[in-house]
Amino acid sequence: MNRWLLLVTAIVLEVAGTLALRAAVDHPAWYALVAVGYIGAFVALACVLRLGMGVGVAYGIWGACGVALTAVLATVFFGEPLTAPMGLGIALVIGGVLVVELGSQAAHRRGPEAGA
Amino acid sequence: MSWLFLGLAILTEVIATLCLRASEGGRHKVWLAPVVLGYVASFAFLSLSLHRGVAIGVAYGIWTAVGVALTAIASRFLFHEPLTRLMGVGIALIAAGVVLIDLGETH
Repeated sequence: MNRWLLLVTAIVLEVAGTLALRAAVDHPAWYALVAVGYIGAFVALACVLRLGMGVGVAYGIWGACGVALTAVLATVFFGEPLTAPMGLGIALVIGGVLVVELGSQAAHRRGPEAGA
Repeated sequence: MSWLFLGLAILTEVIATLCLRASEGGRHKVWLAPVVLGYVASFAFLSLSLHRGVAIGVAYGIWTAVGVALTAIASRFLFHEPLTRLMGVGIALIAAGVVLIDLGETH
């Protein structure tokens, strides 16, 4: 299976698990999907890493897409407010997650003495 | 109180991630119990913050991003992992984003 397709699978499972965590506040039965979603996401992510994708790239994209999709879908499903400053704040944290993860990977490629 | 639970969710997640790093991919089995306990506690605290009325979009964004920032900083001191200027920029972006989300929520 293609590693990018696996990464998309990991993101979808993680977002499903996260939204289920919110749904479980009203109906505890959703906790089952939280467990399935997150365990599945971690298994898919482990497979992505085993297929040779860099840890920084995989975690950065997974985290950033997860945050973005969760914020958008939470407004759709649960009517959560998403004001302009909040949207900008979420965009900044997404950028930050990508920069930290990719920066970490770049530093590891240059060797352990980089950035010290 | 709801923000306290979100803070505890971040803290337990960071501890679990650092223990996972210390286990070196599961080779040192002694670390695996705190890894599992930490992640379970983290989800419990995240769920408690949602029960207290924190929006999931906000909680999840802050939980993920602050966790990434704190893990990078702690790894620098515990495992001598690189913490470059670029990563510092990323951590500053996360901090600014969290402040904006918080301000946006109260307006």
